[in-house]
Amino acid sequence: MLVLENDLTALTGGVWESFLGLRAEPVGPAPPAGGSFYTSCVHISGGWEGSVHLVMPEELARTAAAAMFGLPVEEVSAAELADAVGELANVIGGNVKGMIDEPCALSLPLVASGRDVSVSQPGAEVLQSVTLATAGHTFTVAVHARPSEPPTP
Amino acid sequence: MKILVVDDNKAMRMIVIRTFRQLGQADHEFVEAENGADGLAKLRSEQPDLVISDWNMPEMTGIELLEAARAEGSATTFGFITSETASEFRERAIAAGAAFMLAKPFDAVALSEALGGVAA
Repeated sequence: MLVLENDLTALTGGVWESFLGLRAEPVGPAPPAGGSFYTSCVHISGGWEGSVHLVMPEELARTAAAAMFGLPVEEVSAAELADAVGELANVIGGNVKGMIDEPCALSLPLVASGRDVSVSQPGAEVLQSVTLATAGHTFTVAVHARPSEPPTP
Repeated sequence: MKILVVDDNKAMRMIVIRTFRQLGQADHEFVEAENGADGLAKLRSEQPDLVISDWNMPEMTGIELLEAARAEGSATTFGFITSETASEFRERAIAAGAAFMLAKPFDAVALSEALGGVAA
């Protein structure tokens, strides 16, 4: 499966604009800022195996959740933060899955938060990754692919 | 019109309801359910005129909800708003009796087109 950088950027930008009313513009890979992050991933399994990961600073997650729930930023709860980030990953993942010819299933999203938090899948490698800027922050969407055969030791 | 919105994601349920309002359809009564099982229970108790459901949900998926509803004899108009966009999902939904299947992300125009004359 080939995921083009432009396709991943465009579909992510579409999700951002549709759900959050925000423009998200591609930027070069940005070093992770300090502070707390939210990360969410969805797994794709079946004819193709991999996962889609969304990583953003907590401030951006809070902005996104406020937009999705129609709440002031300061009123967003931890549960609403996780809900919003998970749904964004779910929709981006669904659109990535739509690029795959083989029949596949999409998992429910997993969400984690904290400092230096990361989610990885053993044996998987990054197929494509894009960093976008929005609302004064940057966030990353990455597609990880897992080889159909286990790697040779 | 009473509309049952079934999605395990609360943000998504709010977006669906807000999009109806953007279409000038704020007078509907909205009932929310957080998965297919909850949706089936509320379909029985609330007797909605329209069900808008996600596909992937814990406990009971959207297609299982539709199939269960039809098996019980419910003819309530049923549409999906889902990130599942593959043709095999659409075909299964239509075969089970769905009126439409709208892909996420969506906007008010897309929802309006999907609804057609279902809700006004």
